[in-house]
Amino acid sequence: MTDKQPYVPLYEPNSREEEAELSLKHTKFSKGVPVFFVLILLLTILSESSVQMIADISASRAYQADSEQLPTRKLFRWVEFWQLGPPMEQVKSAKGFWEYWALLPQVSKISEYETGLEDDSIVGQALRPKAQQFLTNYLGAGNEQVFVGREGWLYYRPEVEYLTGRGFLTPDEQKKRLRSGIEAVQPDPIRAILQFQEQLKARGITLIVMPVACKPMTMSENLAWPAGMPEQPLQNDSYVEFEKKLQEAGVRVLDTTGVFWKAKMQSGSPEPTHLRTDTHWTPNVMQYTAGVLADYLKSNRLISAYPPVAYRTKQIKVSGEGDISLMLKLEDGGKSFPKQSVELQQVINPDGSLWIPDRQSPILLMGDSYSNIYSLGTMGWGESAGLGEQLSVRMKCPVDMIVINAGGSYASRQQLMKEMSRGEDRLAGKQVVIYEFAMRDLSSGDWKLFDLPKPKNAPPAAASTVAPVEVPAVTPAVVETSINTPVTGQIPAIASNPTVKVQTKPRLQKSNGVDKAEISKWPLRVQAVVKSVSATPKPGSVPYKDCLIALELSDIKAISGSLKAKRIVVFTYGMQDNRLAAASEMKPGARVTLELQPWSQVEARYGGLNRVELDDPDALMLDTYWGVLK
Amino acid sequence: MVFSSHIFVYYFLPIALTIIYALYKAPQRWRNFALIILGYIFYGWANPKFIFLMFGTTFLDWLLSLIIATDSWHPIRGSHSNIVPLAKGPRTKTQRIALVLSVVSNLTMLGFFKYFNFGVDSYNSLMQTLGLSQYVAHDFLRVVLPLGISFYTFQSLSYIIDVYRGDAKAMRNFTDFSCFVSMFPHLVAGPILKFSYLADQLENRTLTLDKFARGSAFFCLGMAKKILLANPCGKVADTVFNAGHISTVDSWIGVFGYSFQIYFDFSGYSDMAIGLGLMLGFVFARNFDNPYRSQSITEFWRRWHISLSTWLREYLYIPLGGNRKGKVRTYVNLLLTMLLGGLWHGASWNYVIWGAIHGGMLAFERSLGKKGPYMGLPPILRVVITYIVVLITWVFFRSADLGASVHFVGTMFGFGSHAASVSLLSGLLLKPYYIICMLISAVVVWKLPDTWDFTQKLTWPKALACVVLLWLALVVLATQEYNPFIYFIF
Repeated sequence: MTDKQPYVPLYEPNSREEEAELSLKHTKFSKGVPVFFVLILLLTILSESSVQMIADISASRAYQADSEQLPTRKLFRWVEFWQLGPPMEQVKSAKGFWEYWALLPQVSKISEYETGLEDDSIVGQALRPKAQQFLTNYLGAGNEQVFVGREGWLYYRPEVEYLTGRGFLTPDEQKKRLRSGIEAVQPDPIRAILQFQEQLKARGITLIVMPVACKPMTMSENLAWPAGMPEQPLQNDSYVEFEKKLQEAGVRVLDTTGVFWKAKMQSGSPEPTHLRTDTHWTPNVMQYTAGVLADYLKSNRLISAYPPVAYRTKQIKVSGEGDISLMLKLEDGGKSFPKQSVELQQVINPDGSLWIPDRQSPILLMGDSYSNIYSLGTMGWGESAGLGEQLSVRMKCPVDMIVINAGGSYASRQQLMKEMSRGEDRLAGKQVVIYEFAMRDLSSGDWKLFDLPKPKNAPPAAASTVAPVEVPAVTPAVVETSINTPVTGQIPAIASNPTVKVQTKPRLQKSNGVDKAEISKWPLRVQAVVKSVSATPKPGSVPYKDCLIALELSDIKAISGSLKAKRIVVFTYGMQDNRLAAASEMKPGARVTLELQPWSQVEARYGGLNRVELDDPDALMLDTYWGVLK
Repeated sequence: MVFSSHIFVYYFLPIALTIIYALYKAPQRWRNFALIILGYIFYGWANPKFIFLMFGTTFLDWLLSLIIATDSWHPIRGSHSNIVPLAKGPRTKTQRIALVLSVVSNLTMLGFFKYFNFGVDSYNSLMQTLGLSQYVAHDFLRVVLPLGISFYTFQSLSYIIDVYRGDAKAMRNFTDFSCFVSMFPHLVAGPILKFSYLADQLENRTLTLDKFARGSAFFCLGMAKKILLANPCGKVADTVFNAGHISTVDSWIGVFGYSFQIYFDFSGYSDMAIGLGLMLGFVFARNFDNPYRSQSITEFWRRWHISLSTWLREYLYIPLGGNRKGKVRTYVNLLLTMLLGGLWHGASWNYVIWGAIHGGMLAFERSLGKKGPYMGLPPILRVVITYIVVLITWVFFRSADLGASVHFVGTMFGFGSHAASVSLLSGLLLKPYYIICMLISAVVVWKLPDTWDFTQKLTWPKALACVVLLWLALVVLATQEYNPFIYFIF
């Protein structure tokens, strides 16, 4: 090495340092190598920001020339690091040490900024699918969400870890999960379920808990080594204790693991219980489970007399792309893991319209995407053929649903709490609540506790004894119908609860306190200031491709019509088809223009999608709308 | 911020290099000042609040070092312009008090942030064991560990002790001293630099093409080690160590994976640190030297995390008496040094046991002498035995708690419990990607030259190999969300 200044050590170096100096002095380079290294390194580290700068300028010009060409990413994010700091007004108005201290950039904001830079990187976006394709196709590697199995089977990592991990009720696991995230997590599912059980019991409603078995539990043969059919389904170490504790406390539990296993093994060759590249159950297993559930409700006389509704079913064929394959984000889209076709039994109302949930039903199904699949069209697997529909057919009575994707551990209960707190008694007339959630939530879900308003007149409890749900020895009668064939059957057993008036057509949700007379026409166009925004999940990191986020709006000015409310909550797409939507970039303080509709008008369409609520509990009490950014 | 991140490689590093090279002809102090600003941004990126802590401790140590050097409680006043290293010999009361204040303040801060939660947890466990659950402090304050606190505290301590001993002169200029502490290449994970060596470079270093070129080679190889080997091996280790039930074979796969992960993770980071140091004109000493080729634990500690073992030897083992006070005292000193070395890593009984096993082995090997029966074994067998001992200690280092460690070691030797989910775990591990990564890791560990030797002579094929590996690592980095850094938390 040829330092320009002579090396004059001030202190005697010891041997390690001396060795380093000597080694560096005696580095030998082939001719041209040092220049090559410098050029290549500089080229590499400057490539990303240069490409990004050029692409952002280009996209910005295209947008300026044609406002229809909306950029697909946040432009010039790389120069916006200064936004991590507080606004100047806050700095000027701060007084005292602690107020200044609170203005320091938040760790979460820094992390969000860094993640945004990575996600919006043009180079990264070009490289990621290609690299993942190679890793998956040639090396059998998945990613942080996906395990790649044999013969085209894909598995969702949290579901596999539910089985390979430690018992979810062990004190160490509970402690670990309690401190796992930035926000506090309530890791104990038993506590949340027992609280819910008490709340329902006070209203005379029977709770049936239905944890749904995940794919690796009953379909492990395509992932396990050595390959081969296991003798029994796999289960987490704590599950038996979980079920036992619930039953001891009087909670009815339908263990779907056994149901699925029976469904799988009932014919000569094992039938898949789950979709090949998707987290969810097959239509056959879902229908089989609905049959078991209906048999249980009937045999235990949990529903009072109900005039039978002559639903019809229609055999339809749909093909869908698996949510797990989408998480891999491969270059060839669905070619490596092609779409899967399934046959569904779509349920049709007596008037010929497609089945939709009915709030007047004595049965409330609360659940997650297992209840939504085949029911909610936006999931891409058909509609009006899901668990609620199949149960409805078998019970010959309507079913009410509060179903939110990925909402098993708390979102559906939170939605119920929201409605009840706003004075909408969603539990009025209910006799049974079926609480469905994916079993993986037992080890990874946040089992938040919610207070429900106390009932005014508590009726006597519907069931005083506990009967664990047993898997029937024989196959339940799966309704096999064709187009225009009415389903008939016996009226369910009569219980002591008062009869509920039948309403075959579901009514629209009450309009959340909004005086419709004030509003001439929906949708209503408004301008408002964003007060707060809920977080958007990272596309591809969650087992769903659409997600609604909540915007709290203030300073609302109606452009068309009128709106009295000073503050409202608006749900809109934060992520659509695994891409971030414009609302995900909203920051508090931004002025926006939206077209609003009362949430109740769109609930049937969007209510099943995953929704991220605002952190502020007061926001839960505000009027809720559906909004489209303009 | 970590070196193997998108924001560091594509944004922070280009900006840092531009600033430093723009100051090519500027006075050294300006470059030092620029490095301080860059260091604080680098450090504050993880949590801006902790930059005040680092600034506070840096300022206090600087002030106390001047008090020691000038033997005066008013060191900044004009009469002390010529500061020279102290002569050997006894120190005054003022100097002793200043030293004690510095050592106590540094260790108190380290102790608070590092061991407070451990103390509360241990108290809670004790209360529960004694049946006094009502006294358990469930919602007591939880302390967040500032990044790299163990590293910069040890570096500050080395400075103050060197000044006190007369091995180094105190830095009159706060900028130079602050640069020594906050210099981003070694800030959060070392290597732990001896002040007496770096002081020279803070005042007298050069930026050269050769340094930059070799630094680039170090950086390329370090990045490749981290992304291409440490991360997939880490995935294997995490899968096994987080599992409820494992088979004997899987337990060995898991601990092999962890041994590769921790080596490539830390040595890769050290390589990148050395490379970045060179690009900025600094020369850092070697931190790893093929540790898994060691034939004894004594040799292992001459090759593994050399900057820590050197620090422990110079500032702990030798002051305790080293080997100067008889055999028994030597063994006790070795054990004590490694116990404290274990505790330096973190507050957990697992680290204590990890340190105790290493300390015990060092003492045991010393008792065997250079001509004992162990030394008569073939070298390859000694390498295997040493590696197995190191593997067992890694189990304690990696496991969540003591019970899990004991269970894991039991499983390695066939005493584990079995469950149906074991086959699922095996299926996750036996993927071509993981198998290939583990095999390549083994070849690199036992067959290929390490970064230091590989870059001693940089020919065109080697240069091309370095660049290809860097690009490959950056492509894989773009796909990986899993990118932990083990020593980030120490």
